[in-house]
Amino acid sequence: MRGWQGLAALAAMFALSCVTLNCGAMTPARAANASPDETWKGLADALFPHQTLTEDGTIIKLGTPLAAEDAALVPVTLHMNYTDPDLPLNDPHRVKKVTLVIDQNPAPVAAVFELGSKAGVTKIETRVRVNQNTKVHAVAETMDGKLYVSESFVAAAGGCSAPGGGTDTADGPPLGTIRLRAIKPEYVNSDARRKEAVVMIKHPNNTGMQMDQETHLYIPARYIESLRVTQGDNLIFAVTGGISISEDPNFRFDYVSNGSGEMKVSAADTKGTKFAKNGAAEPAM
Amino acid sequence: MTKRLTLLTALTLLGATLIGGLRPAYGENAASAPLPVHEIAPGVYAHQAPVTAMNAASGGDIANLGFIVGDDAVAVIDTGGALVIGERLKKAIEAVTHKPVRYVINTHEHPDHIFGNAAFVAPGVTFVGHKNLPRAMAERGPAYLATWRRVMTPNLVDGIKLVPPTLLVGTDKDVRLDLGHRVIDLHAWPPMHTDCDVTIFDEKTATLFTGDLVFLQHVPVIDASVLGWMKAMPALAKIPAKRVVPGHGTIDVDWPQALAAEKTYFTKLTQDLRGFIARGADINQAAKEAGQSEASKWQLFGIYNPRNATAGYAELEWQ
Repeated sequence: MRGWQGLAALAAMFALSCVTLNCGAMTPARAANASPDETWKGLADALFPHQTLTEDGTIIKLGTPLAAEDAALVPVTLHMNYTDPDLPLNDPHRVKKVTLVIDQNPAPVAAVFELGSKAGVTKIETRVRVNQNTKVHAVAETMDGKLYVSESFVAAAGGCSAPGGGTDTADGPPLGTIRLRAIKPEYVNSDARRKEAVVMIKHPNNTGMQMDQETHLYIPARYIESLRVTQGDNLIFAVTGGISISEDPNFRFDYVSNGSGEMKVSAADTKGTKFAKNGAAEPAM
Repeated sequence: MTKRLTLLTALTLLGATLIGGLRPAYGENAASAPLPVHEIAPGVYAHQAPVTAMNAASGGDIANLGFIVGDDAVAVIDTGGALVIGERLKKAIEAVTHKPVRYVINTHEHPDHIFGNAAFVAPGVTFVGHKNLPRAMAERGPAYLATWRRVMTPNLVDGIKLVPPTLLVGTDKDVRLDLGHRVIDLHAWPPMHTDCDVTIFDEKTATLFTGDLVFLQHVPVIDASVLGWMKAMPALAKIPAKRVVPGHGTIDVDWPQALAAEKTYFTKLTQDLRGFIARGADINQAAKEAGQSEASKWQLFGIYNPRNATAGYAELEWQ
């Protein structure tokens, strides 16, 4: 397999955050003296060395709001092969992996998505924290090993230090609760085999930049580092995540049903806790 | 349940467009004059700030402030969005009484309410707030300050200090402060507007300072939990106040009628969001469309309703 695996991505993420970002400092030193373009060039060289990134909206298209309504919860949509969802699954232009980079965040690599080779995923929407005005990049790797990039800009401030929830209320479901929500087919499109669903997991996804209210010490980073969704045994997508994914990680995606009817979600966080849920996606409420 | 940064994005955008084009609303004289206040009940004073976005043009003066004078001492309620606003509030106090300020109460963490704190730092002055307020200030204060530096003129940023409370109000027990034949009751609320909201009730005149638990004219900003806000509203309405000073909008209004407008807004917004979630609409569509039937009733709706809808969608999706 070309490119690198999730672990390598995480390693790269930490290496980058430590080398270029003064390790955890909220105001990256580079922001003052590197232009947004220089920042991206540095990131791209480190993450995709010696590779050419081509802009092609039919392969990968990134959707972000121009300004974050809520910096701790910025919706990001990845469209893969969206002009041609019925492209053969083994077509060289099919996207098999997408890396989401939030250039100015303390840990720029927000997530790496691996797409199932039989799932035909053309859309993944998630929510991220954005710490300051930043360019956002999605880099897609296609079946033929080529890399494509889509860029956008988000105006935001402070999303990485926004407190995680649940410190003061016990109202919600417990940490680790996974919910599978099916989107009504009539809302998606007319293709009976193409489905859309939401996987959400209750988890503070602590960034390590949030202070504990009792001790005034910073809460160590604890976040979902991997999450995998399959139908039967066939992968729909797997994601390797970092601290830029918002509290209560949420993934909305489309896929081509293989008829098994059962979806399986498994996830693990950085504390080593594992979470899982099997079952049909719940119908919409 | 969730707590998020508010104001900042809108501020960034507004500030970027306004800072170059408009002059501050206050000239040299007004910039140091006592802040205008009204005695809305004997010994109870309130400043009604304009309903406008926080930017250099509004000069740090967008939140209602007040003070209560007892026989022995004064309690200040919020200090404004710049040191100069705090200083002008101090002058307004000195113009009506020689009694010392003993307490400075911050109704919550937002910068338009706390950035004038430094004007009151002195021996014998105790800062008071919700038990969560020190954490909120520590976590978000630096980001708020960074935003201020971007969107405000330097004179509005100079001297701002994060002054956390040392007398804390827990949600389990009210704190009663005696100002001399005048007791004010401080109640700390569960997550509503923020996760550190405190209300102040003057028992002598039945005047309630709600902080940002009540918005009038200015669309409510939900920075903690819309469900929590709605859930706690009956308890809030039960406070036997004769008049209230909201955090934003017209001061000295009837109670609990002052809650009606925001209750309607929350009801519409959550109804819309539930509908969008049930139908399968995504969070982007909800941000654009939820609550829009309320648009004509509120100011600053275009700035804050989309963020309320975004945060509300994520909260309600778990219901």
